[in-house]
Amino acid sequence: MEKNLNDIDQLIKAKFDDFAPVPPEHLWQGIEKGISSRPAFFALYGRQIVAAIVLLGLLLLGVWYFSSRSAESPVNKLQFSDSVPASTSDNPVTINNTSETGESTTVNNTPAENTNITSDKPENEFAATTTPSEKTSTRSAGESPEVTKNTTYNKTISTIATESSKTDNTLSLRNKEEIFSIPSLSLALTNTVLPKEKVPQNNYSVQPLPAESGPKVKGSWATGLYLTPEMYFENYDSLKTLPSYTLSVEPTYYINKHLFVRFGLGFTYGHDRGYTRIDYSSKNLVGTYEDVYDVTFDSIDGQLVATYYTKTREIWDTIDQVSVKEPTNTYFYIQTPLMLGYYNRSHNFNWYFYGGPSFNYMISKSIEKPVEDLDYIELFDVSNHLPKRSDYYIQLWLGAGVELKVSDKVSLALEPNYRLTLNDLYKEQSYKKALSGFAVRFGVVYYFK
Amino acid sequence: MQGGKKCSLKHAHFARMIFDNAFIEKLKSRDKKAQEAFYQQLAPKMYGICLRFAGNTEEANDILQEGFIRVFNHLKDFREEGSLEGWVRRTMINTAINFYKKRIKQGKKTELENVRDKTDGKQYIIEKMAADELIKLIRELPAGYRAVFNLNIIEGYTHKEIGEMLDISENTSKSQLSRARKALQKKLISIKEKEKGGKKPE
Repeated sequence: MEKNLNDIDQLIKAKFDDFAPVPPEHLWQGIEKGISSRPAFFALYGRQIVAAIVLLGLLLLGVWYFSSRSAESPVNKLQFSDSVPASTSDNPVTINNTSETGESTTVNNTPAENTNITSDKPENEFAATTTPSEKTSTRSAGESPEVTKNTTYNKTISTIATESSKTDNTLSLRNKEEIFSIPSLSLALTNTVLPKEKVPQNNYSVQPLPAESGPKVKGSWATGLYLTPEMYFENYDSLKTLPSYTLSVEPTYYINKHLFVRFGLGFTYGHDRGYTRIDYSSKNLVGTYEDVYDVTFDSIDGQLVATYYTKTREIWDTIDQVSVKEPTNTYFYIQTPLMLGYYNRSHNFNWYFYGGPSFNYMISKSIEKPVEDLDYIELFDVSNHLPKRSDYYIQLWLGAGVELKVSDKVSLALEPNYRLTLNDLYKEQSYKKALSGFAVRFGVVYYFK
Repeated sequence: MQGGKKCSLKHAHFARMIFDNAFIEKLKSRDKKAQEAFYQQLAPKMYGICLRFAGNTEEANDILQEGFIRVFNHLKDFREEGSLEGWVRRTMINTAINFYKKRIKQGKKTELENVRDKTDGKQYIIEKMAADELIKLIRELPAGYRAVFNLNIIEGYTHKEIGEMLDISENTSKSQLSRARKALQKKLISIKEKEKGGKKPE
């Protein structure tokens, strides 16, 4: 019998060895369309392109961060000095931006050029110098005697403006006719240091900066509570990776005015649903019969009469069954993102973007049993064949967001967010592929002042 | 050539092609001419596979199209360790299996239970049959039987491998093959009876 079957198998196999029917010609056109529907370059290198963009972005942020740090170095401190002779000019305030190598750049101290920074009172003559080796405030001969040497006043001009307005001493940074308003120079001046004694004694005024929401100073903190639905772009033939939901608390540290680091802890609920085959056998009742368990014979009117004692017996048969079920597997993860971002403040809303890895560790899972236990069914091979998820996965996030200011300390955040899974989400070989997804984060952010 | 139509001259020309490294590189760089030549070369053989796995010609066409789209889009995954034709063949079979799984998903699996194992005929007419006639018989098998039959008897996969491919147990694969064989025997006997002009067996 076995040999016979093998012969048939060989016969059938041989029949198909050279079987090569010509397919309909129109099929090639469909294949051509299918090939061209995917951009070749992106199909080949899409993952690498996204990773490269993220890395480039982080690199640029890093470069920007370090360059902004070097710009904050004490080299650009502004100091007032009375070492400039009174006779040099009617408008003697001078700003020297001197580098550490000793080179100095004088903005101006002559009235002929309109970029002068002048005081209203010619008798108060100041020279603002930034030479590192000579950070002293010295009094020029015949001028104001109350100047202390080696004294710096570590407040910005905007701060000084506030203080001076309280004492009716205004600091005016202007050229001959107009309020001084060169943005780049005003930015530089916010980092300057002035001698305390000079400021209240002179009538200077500075245009105050407009009020902004969000973090005010570097080194500040905020924390946000976020709800994040996340959808995956790809799906499998017999499995749907359903949207997941994350509730997270994410503190943010603002390194400076623009850069921030965000980390946090979240709990993610994810679930998959799919069709899977179930093999089981059922015991079915196919009929009954009366089982005689005793017989007695009696003589009635000379006749022998048999009496049968019976029990009803049920006949059950086992039938192999195949069915398709749609179980749902659920998973719970702890999510720990670590993001680096760029932050931009505005009056009523702030915008920002960020990127970085997020680590997700499974803490619990629930694998649905696809068939209910029933008394009349004997089950075998009822395991849920849906692919199971890995114990952890790492994602690369790339997101942007806007914050709407609700109060001085509270903002509402909305963040669209792209996510690329860097390792395989599923354990099964045939389900291993890079998954990408899209999430929208809704959050409430609280700023610690 | 058994089965379908004879190859056209165009196909015969492509049949002389050799898939060397230079040609594979052209395919990977998505050279249109190379792709078409490659398709013309392998499509007939692959179409034979599709016809065996599919329930009907339309499904076979779909499998062939989707299979070749996969081949061209994932050619970068080909590691050149085995033959390119073997890799394409496996891709086509995987595509066919995905179609089978979709059929399961759509609930077309109930037909599995309708086949009973009653045949005991020992006379076969397979030798007399053309491949496309045999394919018609195979197509009439329930999808699950057909998949296991094709994978085991013709493609040579073990029951363990088939179990992994179809998400079924090894024993289920064995039992399905047994049923597929019996169902096929039944059909063959039926054909034989018809040829004899006898009554159709019960």
